[in-house]
Amino acid sequence: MLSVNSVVKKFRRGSHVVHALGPVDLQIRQGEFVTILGPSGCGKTTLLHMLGGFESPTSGAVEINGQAVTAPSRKLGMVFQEATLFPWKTVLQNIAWPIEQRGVRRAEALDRATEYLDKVGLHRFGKAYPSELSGGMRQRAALARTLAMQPEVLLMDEPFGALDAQTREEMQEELTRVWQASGLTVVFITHDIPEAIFLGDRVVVLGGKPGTVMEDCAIDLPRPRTSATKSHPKVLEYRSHLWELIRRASAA
Amino acid sequence: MHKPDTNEGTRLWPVTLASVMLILCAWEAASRRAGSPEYFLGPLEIVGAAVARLVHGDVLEPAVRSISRAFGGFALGGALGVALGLLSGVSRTVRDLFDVPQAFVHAIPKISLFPAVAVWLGFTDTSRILIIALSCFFPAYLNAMSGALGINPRYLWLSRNNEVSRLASFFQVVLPASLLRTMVGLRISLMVAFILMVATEVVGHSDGLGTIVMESYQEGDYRQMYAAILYIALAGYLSNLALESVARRLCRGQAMEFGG
Repeated sequence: MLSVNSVVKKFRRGSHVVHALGPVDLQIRQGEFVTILGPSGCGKTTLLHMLGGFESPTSGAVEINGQAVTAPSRKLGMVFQEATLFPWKTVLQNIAWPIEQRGVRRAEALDRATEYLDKVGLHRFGKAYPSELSGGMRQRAALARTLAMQPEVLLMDEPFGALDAQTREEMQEELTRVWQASGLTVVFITHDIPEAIFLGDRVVVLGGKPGTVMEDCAIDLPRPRTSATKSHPKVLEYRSHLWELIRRASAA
Repeated sequence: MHKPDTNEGTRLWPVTLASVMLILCAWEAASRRAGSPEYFLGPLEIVGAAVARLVHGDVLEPAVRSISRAFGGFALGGALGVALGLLSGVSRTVRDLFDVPQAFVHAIPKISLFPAVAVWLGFTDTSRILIIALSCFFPAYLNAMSGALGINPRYLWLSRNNEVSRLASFFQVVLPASLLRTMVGLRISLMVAFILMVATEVVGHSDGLGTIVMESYQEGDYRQMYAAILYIALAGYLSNLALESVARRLCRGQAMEFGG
C-alpha cells in the first residue's frame, strides 16, 4: 500500500516561494494500476518524484506499507520519459545492471536478464546497443531494466510520451500484459486521456494552481484489456467526462 | 532515392590516397626543378635518408628515449588530469578547490617553466617528463571535467534508484558516461606531449629526436634533419592511431561521434 498523506510541495524561486502542489491525499492499493492525469505544469511529475523519494515534500509524507519514503530505493522503480539506457552497454547488459547491483555475479545476472528481455519481447536484441534500437524498443528495454530491479511499485513518468501514435498503443497493450502477469503496483503519469483510461484501474485527475486532486475516477472496464477495449461503449463516457474536468483544470 | 550515407562509417580510401599522392608528386617535382635550393628536399630523398639512418642503426636509441619521455609525461599528466577532472565534474568542492590554481597555471606556456624546473632537477629526463606531464594535464583535466558535468542527470538518478553508493556510481556510471569527452581530451594531450617532447629536447643539453633535428640544422645536414622530423611525425601519427583504436573500443555503442 502506497499512501500520500497531505503532501505539499513549495519551491523557492528567487525571492518568492511558489506553492506548486497540494495538499494531496492518495491511497494506492497493492497491485493497483493508477494513472495520474493532468495538464502540463499541474505538478504531476513532482508528485511522482516525491513518490520515488527523489524529492521530499515540504510538508506531509509519502509512505509505503507504513514506512516513510525518504530516499530512492529499489522498492520504487522509476521509468523515465526518455529510456536513459546506458549507451556504453548492450541491451542485455543494461538489464543485467540492476541485478548486479544487488550483488549477483555478472554471469548469473546476464542469465536472469534474459528472462526480462523475453518478457518485453526483445529476445533478439540483447546484443544490440541502445543507439541501434527504435524509440519504442528502447522504452521496452528500459521497462525490462526497471522490472529487473524487482520493485514493489513501478513509477512511470509519461514513458510513452515521445513515441509515435501506433507504437504508443502497442506499448500500452504490452504494459497491461506485463503488469497483469506481475502483480505490481503501478503509478503512471500521463496527459493523454485515452491512455489514462485504457491503462488505469483509477484515473486521478490533478489540476489547478497549486495542483490538487480534482477527481479520483474508478475505471470500470473488463480485464485483461486489449485493443478491443478501446471501442468499449464506456470508454466514450469516461473520455468526455475527463475532457470536461481537464478543461476546467487547465482554466483554473 | 538517394544512396546510403557513405560519409559515415567507411572512409573513401581512393579519394584519400589520390590526394596524398598528388601532394607528394607535386612536392617531388618542385624539389627536382632546376634552380630549387639545395636545402629544399623532396619526399623521396627524405625517406631515403630516414631509411639510411634506420639501416645504420643510430636512430632507434634516440627514438626510444624521446618516445618514452613523451609517453611517460602523457601517462602521468593524462591520468592525473582525467582523475581530477572527473572528480571536479562530480564534486563542487573539488571543482572550487582547483579552479583558480588550474586557470592560473593553464595560462603559462609550460615550456617557459622548463628552465625553472631545470634549476631544481637539471636538464634531466625527470624535468622533461614533468614539463610534458604538466602540459598534458590541462586538456585531459578540462575535457574530463566537462564530460562529467555534462552527464545526463537521470543516469545518477538510476544509481540512486538502485541504491548504488557514490563511489560505485563514480566508476560504473560517471566514468563511462564521460568517456567520449575524456578520450577527446586525451588525444589532445597526446599531441601536446609530442610538441613538448621536441621542445624540451631542443633546449639545454639533451639527446633524442628533437636534439637530432636541432643539431642537424646547426651542422647544415638537412637530410638528417628531415629524416628526424619524419620519425617524429611517424611516432606521433602511430600513437594517435593506437589511442584512437583504444578509444573506439572503449566507447562502443557511443562512438558515433568519432570521425573516420
